[in-house]
Amino acid sequence: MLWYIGRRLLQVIPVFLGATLLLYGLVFLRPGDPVAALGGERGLSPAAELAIREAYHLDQPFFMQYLYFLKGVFTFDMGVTFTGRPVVDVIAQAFPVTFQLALMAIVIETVFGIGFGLYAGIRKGKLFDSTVLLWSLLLISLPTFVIGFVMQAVVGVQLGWLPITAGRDPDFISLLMPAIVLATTSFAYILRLTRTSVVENITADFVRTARAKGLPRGKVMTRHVLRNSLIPVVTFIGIDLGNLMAGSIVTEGIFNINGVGGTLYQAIVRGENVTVVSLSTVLVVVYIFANLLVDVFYAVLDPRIRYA
Amino acid sequence: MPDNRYEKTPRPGQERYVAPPEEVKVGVIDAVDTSEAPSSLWADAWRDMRHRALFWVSAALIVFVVLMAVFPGLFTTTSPTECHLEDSLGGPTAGHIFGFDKQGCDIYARAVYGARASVTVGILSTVFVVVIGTLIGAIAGYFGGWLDTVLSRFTDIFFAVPFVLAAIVIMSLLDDRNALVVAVVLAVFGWTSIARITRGAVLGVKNNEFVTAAKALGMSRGAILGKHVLPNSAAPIIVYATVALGTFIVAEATLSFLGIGLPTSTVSWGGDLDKAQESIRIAPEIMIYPATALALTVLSFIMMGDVVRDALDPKARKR
Amino acid sequence: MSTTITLTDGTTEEAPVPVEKHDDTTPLLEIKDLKISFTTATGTVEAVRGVDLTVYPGQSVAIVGESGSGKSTTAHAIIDLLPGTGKVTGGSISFGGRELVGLGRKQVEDLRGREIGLVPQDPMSNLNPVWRIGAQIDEALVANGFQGGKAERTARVAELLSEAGLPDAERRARQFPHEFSGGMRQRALIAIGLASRPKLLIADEPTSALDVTVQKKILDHLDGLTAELGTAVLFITHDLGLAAERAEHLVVMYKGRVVESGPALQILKDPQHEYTKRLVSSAPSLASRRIQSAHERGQESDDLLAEHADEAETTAPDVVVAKDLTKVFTIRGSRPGSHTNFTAVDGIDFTLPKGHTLALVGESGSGKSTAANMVLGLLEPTSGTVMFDGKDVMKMSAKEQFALRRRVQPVFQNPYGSLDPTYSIFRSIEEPLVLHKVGDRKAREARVRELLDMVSLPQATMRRFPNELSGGQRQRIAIARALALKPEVLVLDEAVSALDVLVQAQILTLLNDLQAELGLSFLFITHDLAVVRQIADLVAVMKDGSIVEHATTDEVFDNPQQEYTRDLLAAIPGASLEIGG
Repeated sequence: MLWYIGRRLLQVIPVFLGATLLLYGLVFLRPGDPVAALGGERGLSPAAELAIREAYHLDQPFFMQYLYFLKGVFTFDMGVTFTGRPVVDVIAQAFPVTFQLALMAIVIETVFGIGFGLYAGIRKGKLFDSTVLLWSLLLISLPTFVIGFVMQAVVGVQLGWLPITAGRDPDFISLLMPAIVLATTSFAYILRLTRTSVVENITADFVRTARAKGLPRGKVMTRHVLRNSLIPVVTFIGIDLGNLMAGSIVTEGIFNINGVGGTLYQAIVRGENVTVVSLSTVLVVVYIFANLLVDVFYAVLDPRIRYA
Repeated sequence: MPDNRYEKTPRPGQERYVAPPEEVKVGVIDAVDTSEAPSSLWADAWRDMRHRALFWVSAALIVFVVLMAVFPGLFTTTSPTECHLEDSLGGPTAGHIFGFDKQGCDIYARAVYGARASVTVGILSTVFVVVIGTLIGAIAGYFGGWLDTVLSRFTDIFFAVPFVLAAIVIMSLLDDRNALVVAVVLAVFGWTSIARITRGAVLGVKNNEFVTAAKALGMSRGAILGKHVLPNSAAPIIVYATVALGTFIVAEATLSFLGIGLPTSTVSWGGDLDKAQESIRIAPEIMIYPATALALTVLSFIMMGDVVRDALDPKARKR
Repeated sequence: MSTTITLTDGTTEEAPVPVEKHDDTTPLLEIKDLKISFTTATGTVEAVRGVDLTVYPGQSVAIVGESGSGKSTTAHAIIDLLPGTGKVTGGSISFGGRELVGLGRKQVEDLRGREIGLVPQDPMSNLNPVWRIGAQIDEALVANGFQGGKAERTARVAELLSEAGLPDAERRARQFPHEFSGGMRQRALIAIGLASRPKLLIADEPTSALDVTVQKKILDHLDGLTAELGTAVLFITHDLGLAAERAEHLVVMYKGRVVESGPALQILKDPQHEYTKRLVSSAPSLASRRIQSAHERGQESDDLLAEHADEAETTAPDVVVAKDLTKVFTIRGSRPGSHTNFTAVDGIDFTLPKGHTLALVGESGSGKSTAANMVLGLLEPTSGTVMFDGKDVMKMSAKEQFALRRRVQPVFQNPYGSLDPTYSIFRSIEEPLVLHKVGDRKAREARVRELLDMVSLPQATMRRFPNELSGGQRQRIAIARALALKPEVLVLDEAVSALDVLVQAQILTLLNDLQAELGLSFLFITHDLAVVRQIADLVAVMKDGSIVEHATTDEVFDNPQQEYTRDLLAAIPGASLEIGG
């Protein structure tokens, strides 16, 4: 197990460097001069321009700039936003609410996705199964922002069950609707994945052996069918964190939540490139390490990985 | 222990029994079944799909949307860009069945003309990712060794950047945006799944005995890859590509909704949804039309992917 | 009498006293007119059409049949484990006087494990990979009302595992299935099957996935254990020899019906039904046994024996000569930087005389397939040479090697993997002709037709696709493809191992005929010594990468020199049967 974690950690290093270099390189190679653009119509004075270039190491070659950028990431010094706030402060302030939202979404999508998927898989070909499958396709087809608007219009405005926007310092209730919206697409994917692996495992030889032992049906389902079906689902949740992040930009934007996603949304809408890039990089780094965690969890679930 | 299997008379129920020969005819061993017409795997899959309503529904929808994208003039004579502010938020009238949006444009015409942007971006990015992903995945899986290590790590790096997030970053930096740019940006970070799927499929196929047999015939590695390995790895790629087409359309809509996708001068469902958002409190119904068009298009591709997967599923094949 | 049931230790006197008194005159299991159907897209398929079967307490009964005969379906119906849409549509199954058809779920669950145990077929897929072996036995104990706490259960698990013949049971119980070999897994499955001391054990091809020597050990152990416990055993097997050796009563099934049943040896000696007759005459284990006993009586028996068996040491020139052939693989360890060298083939020598058959025999991991791949030029030897017609293959130019491909062709084991599923039969057989630029399109089609004739398949088959053909038919196509370029040597890598007995016999006959007709030389790779007797002139027995014995087939069978060869011979099912000529 320790060997496995060690190996995974080693693998993360080149991926981390590669991914950040890639993002940084794309930003660097973009057309136009960011500093010149800063001044807007009037333009900056040559002295101010030089000062900015030095402050942001823009006078250095590309690779040195990248290294400064990396240093910034590791020393939590990622520059300032347009309004002059350090990016780190923005993240520190925005992160807790995003974390809460993401956690709620993950809980919702896994609990309901696995639950519905398991039941549909057990009742393969029955009415419940085909209904749920069709609905899941529909949910996958709907972009997050459409689901968000529909929820706002129906649950928020028409029924008045939940607040429409979250605002500052949101509580559990006001985060519930955004969390559901954020979870919807992944819920549908997890449902379908769980169903597929349940259908596959239910006919597996080891499940028949478990039944032949005299295990009661409930135990066969939980200990053998569900337990083994969780393995691909966990892998998926890791990959899906990326979608969750992109989704959180839209969701937090729609529901006016001051999280990382909401800040990013505002930055995109206002065209604040520096903030967009630095916040996105932070998200990518979080994503890479969250995936590392998921992989460890995956190894806990599947002994074949652990000892490989 | 003595063997008593000869001496003992059989117990009740275990007496010697021989079935009357006419009861079960012993046929020719292993005769070829000539009763059915010959059919290939693809023919089997086609036969399977033909009998599913879902296939026809999604096929019809796809044809409909593609027609709309290519010949929008067939569906409406109203121009989507000829807007009169005095019609702003006007309800349905004759010739304008869905009414007008905030800018006073005909909603129906915009829904029709919006298909082109979505379908173009969807198809272009799918073509790009299939080409890049299949190439990288097939080479990594088939040739293995250091080439596999390098390509797989390369794939990992791109995989580590969630593709919508990456697209948001890049698009927010670009000033000159059109369908091709959006498609390329989506493809640059979207090909990794196909590469992984292809690599897996190729690894599964390449150890088959028919591949070894081709090697024993002296066939070159490239020819084996092209003639045997890739055709047998095609099924999961096709399935994934169909579903991916749907997700690319969603991604394009999301970008346009954020205002960093297609320029506002291009009619697109995502852009219209962005505009409709402004008047959501007074006229939420404006949103329904582009949203429905978008959802139905995506749904038709994803549904098609589902049907194709079922038809190509090796476990469902006969014998 | 040469047949004895071996007990691992002592006799039945030491057996624990069964809880209930044995009543040998009332059947334990009585199946009457059982009918089972499956619903498919095209309608209902009757898989079992009126089967009768009786098992007495402590008795062993075997159902024999080929794949698709309904033997496993019948067995699974007893404990309500029919797969998919399977349903009992008629008849009765009575167990200890109780009707099992139509029993509620709860009642069936009580029955399973406690009254009737199951040892399934494939040890690789029948243990859940995510649970420790011990946990999988433990849950069987819990489910079947084992009295005792956790510590007692853990002790019991270890006891059961060592009873099933697994040394170091306590440590083994804490391991995962992927850390076990096939034989060890099968022992764990036996421990599970017998964990709650059922009165009946259904053993569904319990060893068919294992090496022959392991197979014999495990079956012997199972025999001893069930005799000791007084458990009745219902064997499901495709091997008539194995069935006759292990069971007193035989039920032969064919196409969902019982075609013949009765005392095992009676059926073997005097088969009545057409199907049973064919089975008895084709089963390789029995055939080789028959040849053997004829030999002992000093007669040259049977047409089953390849007609050229005696002139093996004639002056035929050697077409393939392997000298000091070695292959070392480097295996990367799980820890970074660590790797080990694995010598798959360790300096072997063998010769294949023109027009003859050399069998390379060995168990899994013996290196026989690696050796075959080196002869085929698919693997480069680490050292040593393969000479083809006196020329070193590795020293040939690329052009010469390409030309050589026409002269050595393979046929592989897996009938499902050996043909490209996207190619029509015509394209599959034509492929070698196209690649080596033989003839024009018309000539090639004529050649494909000719080849189909040669392997006794209708010419119309060429329009079909592999998924429409049975395993035996695919194997014929693979042979036709191999013969397309008129090769001199065929490397047959387990080419008949995956086939049903009757089909296997048919393909072996075909191969013998083709050899006589075309003067082919065969390098026949197999794990099954029984088949060797029917086809090979020369035998090389491989173990751990080395050839331990290399002689004519008769010598190897009549007078094996090595302990290992004797073990292999003894492991042929039915080896101990006295069946005469």
